[in-house]
Amino acid sequence: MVHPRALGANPAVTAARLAVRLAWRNLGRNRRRSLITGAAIAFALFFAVILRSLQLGVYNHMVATVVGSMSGYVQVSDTAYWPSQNLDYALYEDPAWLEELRADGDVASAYPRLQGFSLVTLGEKSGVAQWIGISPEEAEAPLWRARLASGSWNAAPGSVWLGKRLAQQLHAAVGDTVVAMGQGFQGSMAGASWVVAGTLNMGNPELEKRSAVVGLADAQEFAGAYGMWSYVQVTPRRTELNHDPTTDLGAQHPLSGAQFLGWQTRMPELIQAIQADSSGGRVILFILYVVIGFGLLGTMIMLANERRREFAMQLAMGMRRGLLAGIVFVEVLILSLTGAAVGAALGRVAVLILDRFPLRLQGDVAAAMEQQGWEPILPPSLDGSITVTHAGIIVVIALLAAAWPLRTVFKTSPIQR
Amino acid sequence: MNRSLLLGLLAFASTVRLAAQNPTEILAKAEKTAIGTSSYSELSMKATRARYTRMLDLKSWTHTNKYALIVVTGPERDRGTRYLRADKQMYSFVPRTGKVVKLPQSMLMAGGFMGTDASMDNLLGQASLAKDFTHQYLGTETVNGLPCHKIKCKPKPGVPVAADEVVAWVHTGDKGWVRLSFQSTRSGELQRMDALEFGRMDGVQMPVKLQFSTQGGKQTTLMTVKTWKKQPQLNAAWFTPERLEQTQP
Repeated sequence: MVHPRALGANPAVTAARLAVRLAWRNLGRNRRRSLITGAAIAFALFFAVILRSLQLGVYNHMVATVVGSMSGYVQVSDTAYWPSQNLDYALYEDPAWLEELRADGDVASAYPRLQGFSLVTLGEKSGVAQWIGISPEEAEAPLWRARLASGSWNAAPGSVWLGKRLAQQLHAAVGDTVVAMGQGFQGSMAGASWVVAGTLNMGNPELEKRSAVVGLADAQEFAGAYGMWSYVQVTPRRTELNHDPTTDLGAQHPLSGAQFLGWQTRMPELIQAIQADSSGGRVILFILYVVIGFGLLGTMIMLANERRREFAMQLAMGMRRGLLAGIVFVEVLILSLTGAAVGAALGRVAVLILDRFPLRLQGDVAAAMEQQGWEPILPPSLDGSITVTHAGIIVVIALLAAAWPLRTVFKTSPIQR
Repeated sequence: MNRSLLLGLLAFASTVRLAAQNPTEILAKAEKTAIGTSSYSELSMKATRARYTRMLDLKSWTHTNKYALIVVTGPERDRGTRYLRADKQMYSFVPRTGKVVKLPQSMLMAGGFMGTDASMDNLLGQASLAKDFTHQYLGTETVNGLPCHKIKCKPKPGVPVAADEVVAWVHTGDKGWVRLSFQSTRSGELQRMDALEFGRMDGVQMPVKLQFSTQGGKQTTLMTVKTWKKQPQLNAAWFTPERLEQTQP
């Protein structure tokens, strides 16, 4: 070992270099111990990442089902439209603004709609339906294409697509003419007869019972809301829970008299349900971390006890306690960082595999979920920040556990034993 | 002097007590014209909203409180829209569809009539306060400048009304009801009707300007009776879906 001062280098750097080199050698001295400790960290992170990704992924899935397809992640509507969703508070069409919004790199799609409620009757049968006027571009979207249960999307103006259950209720078949009547724009009378062009799987029994989809132009004519939109449904490119583009979009594409509302604002009950469930998930993660933390602490205590003689010897030979403590600290740091890197890599791979081949629920649970309109799968969230956050947490826990051997270093007497 | 005052007070108290015993009679008398006389009327309505006002002109034939035919004569976009009530059956005709549509009976209890604050049953015949409700006399009160009996009415079981309770203010004289407040135990006052002006039509004393208010008075609709005529020849058989289709605005 070269004496540090002989080289004339910065003594602190030299000491650090020495500590790293000795730590590396120490790790190699008891490979099994190092491996066990590293593996504990790696597995803890692996499970934490999978657990959290699945949980957040299910929330994304839930939001995509409940919000994404129907009311939209972001709605642009008249400032008075929410919460009553009254047809009277419609927006004037602004195609130039819509084009500009659609051109935004953060916007995946933006579709104007006009919607309201009316009575739909066929013969003696009647039902109250929410009619939704969708633009031709929206009807082209794969989402609506996939919803068709019977009939066709290629139909003349004056056609209506009924929710599957509403069609059953009315005993309506493709080709029948239904009469819709109700209140139109600003108190006018809404009335029209529409030909049933198809029925729809809305993925939600409630929606299937009360949805009637028509072309936007037909809806405007029906309600007397010529040249008006109820709202524009905007789907952003990024739809993660913690990424809410509403404010940015609103600032970049202002529309006079209108406001941008994210689903978080429009459906506080959904975000509350998620938060409640999420805190349950956090409790489980906390328990996982407590278990792992004590496991690590056990390993550290073992490590400290095994090396008590080694520490005493080194101290007796004149090693400074600070340097010895530094070496132990660096050992733990290397171990935890390596473990975390391995765990993060494994977790990421597992998440990617789960994304490709999502867990599929079976049996009654699956049936119940399908009834609620969800595909019965548990897709993981691909959010990279989950891995980073939990890697950070596990490294901090490992370093806290390292306090025990450090304490041992400072307590060991060079003259005993 | 003292004595006459006492007598007067006694006399007043006795009239109150007398009235207190007969809230049902008071209501029956107030409703007599509306329910007992078949009529033809022309009405105009003006609904006031935060962003717009809406005018509506109607022609209406009624027979008791269970038969009515209403034809919209204006505005142009809604002209020709018709409603018919024949006891428990309700029908509507929307000119643009060219079809007579049977309406579910629940429509009678739900929502406003064509974007106004009047309800469907306000126009198509509402339940009789005297016959379909139980009554509690609450004393006298001055409403819209007129002395009134205040009577709390609760619907008898099975009567299809949206309100859990109706408070009626009936003129102590012969003007009939002055204010009706339709209340729900859950959400307070649902709707209020005020008779703002009284007049004589075809020899009958009646309110000729009525105000409907909802949402705690934030939305109001003013209804003016332009014409009212007795039509003694009308009977239940006159109110048929065919009549609905044929009657032109």
